[in-house]
Amino acid sequence: MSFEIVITSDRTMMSNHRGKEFLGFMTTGPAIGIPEFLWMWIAAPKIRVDELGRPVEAPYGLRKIEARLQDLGYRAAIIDPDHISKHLNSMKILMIGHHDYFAYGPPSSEWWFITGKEPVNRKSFIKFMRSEPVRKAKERGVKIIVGGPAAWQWLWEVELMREFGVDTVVDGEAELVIGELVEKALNNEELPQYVFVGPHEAPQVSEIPVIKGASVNGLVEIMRGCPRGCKFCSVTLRPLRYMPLEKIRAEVEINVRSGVKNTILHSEDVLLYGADGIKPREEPLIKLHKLVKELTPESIAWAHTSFAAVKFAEDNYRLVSKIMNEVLHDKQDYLGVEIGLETGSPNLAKKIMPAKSAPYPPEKWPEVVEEALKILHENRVVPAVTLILGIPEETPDDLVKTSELLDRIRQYRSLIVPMFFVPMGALKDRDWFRRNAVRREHVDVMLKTLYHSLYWAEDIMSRFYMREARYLPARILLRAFMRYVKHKVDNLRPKLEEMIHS
Amino acid sequence: MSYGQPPSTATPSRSGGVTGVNKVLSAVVILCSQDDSMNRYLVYELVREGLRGRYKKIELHVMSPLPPPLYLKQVRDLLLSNIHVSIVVKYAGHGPDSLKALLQRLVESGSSVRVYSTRGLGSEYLEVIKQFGINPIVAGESS
Repeated sequence: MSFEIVITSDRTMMSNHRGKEFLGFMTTGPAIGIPEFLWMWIAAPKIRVDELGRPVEAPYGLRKIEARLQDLGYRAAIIDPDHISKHLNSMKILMIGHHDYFAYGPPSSEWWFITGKEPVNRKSFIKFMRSEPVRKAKERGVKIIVGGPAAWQWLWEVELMREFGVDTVVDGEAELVIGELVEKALNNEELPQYVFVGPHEAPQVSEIPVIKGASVNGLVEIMRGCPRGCKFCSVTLRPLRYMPLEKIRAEVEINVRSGVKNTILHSEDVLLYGADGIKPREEPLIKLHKLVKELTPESIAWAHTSFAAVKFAEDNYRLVSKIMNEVLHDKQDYLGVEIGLETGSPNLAKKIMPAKSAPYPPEKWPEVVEEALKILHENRVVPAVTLILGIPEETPDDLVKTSELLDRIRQYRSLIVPMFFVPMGALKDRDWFRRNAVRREHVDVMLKTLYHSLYWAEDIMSRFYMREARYLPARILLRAFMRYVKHKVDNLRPKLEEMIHS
Repeated sequence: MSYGQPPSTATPSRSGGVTGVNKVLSAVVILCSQDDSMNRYLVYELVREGLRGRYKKIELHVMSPLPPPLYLKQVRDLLLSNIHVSIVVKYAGHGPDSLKALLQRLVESGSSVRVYSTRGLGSEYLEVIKQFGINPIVAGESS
């Protein structure tokens, strides 16, 4: 079997991260304290492939493109980056997708900024693009089309775009435009250099294909779009679409048939599935979880939710308790999710994310966060919480409010990750940025989040995470890494505290 | 079972492209030198077209002395400022002859055509544009 369209990515993306999504985050940083090959071995091991080099699991976005192209009648397949040379003779188009090609997205840019070292995702991607098979493909006239959520980063790397011979960048939901581009590439017609897909070209639910092969760690999209309208997020402009249960069933079944034992429900806010605006509803959420539980051999995770939805769902329907204690109770002892806290300041919340707390007013944002974290803690939902520091509108008082909130939520199990709003120029002049933009209040908040996360990471690992024997080596290395970080920060602390109080 | 789906926005064609989205603006952007880039006035002009909803898509034909894909950095501000309208960027060469060929093709295809520039255009460009009865939009300072 040969393919005219090969879809791929580098190793940091083409991995199941040992079945643990959080380990995948290690690829956003540089190797710290251990050699890079060991870092990659933990975070992004190679994935099982068939004789043609097709991976058993692949990133969900690539699976959608593969399915769309196959539905349109093209010979397209996802191929592992180590195996694309097998298809050099038949390949006409090489498609590449990535979450963070050049480490300009969060949290890669923060790690890069703090450590001064290139994150491994960037290094791995550039190494892949300079590899012999990619070079040979280009020499043979293969068209290279790149896309995914990090497509915009190519605009900052036009020299590399030229070096790698990238023909077209596609930014946005590609289902309805990809066929036209492929047709042009196969007919040797002129390709556009950059395509931004606006909301008017977003596909309807019926136009979104069902994946044909398993996705990494069983990720399944349950909805697209988000109604909250936060200023820093572009997802919010896209129309809101709920995937029907039949479609979700079909995708979970494909994952399970391929041997994937878990399911990650993907949405900007899982608790808004089938919601009445921004108010969660009981019926669709219970039906969804019952269905997915019935189909999934092991555990279920949520990609993202929001504190406001957690509080509303629990206060009105005891929904978080019901999902955890009545639906999933015999399946798993915890559930992981990512949630954006962004700021502890109601004033800043009002400016940058006025609807994030809805249906509660933005003035109540810190209380909403606190109460939601209590609900999650009591129901064994373990959140990875993100904060944004350095937003242009931010004042020292906003940071004090965030710091005070961190004190109040110390008692709740969670990992808190601060993300610095780093302007692109700052990556090139880190010292200027550190001197002029990082305040002592930022350092205070960052220290608090670090100690919070190190404390709870120990607890999470001993109670819930990677407890199986097969994870022992990775667990030992992770524990050693956490102790190394704590030791380093403890040593630096007097200096940092001096800075905070000066 | 489905929950509250949005209304249809597009009709797919056989190759998966969108048909029926007929409001396409062909925007020709002339950048005279390598240091030129779309300034905030031009970015505003084009983003406003998206916000007004008159056009569902902008085809941006960029004329620049920088070769592809390096010229993309000259239109980066527009691409990073816009989230409302589809934009397709194509390189259109450099110089009056390339401009003439491009305008000929666009006018013959029946497109809505506008020509933008960030600075006073040379007479050789203006002559070509005049032949097609188009008034160029020269916006703000050059950056």
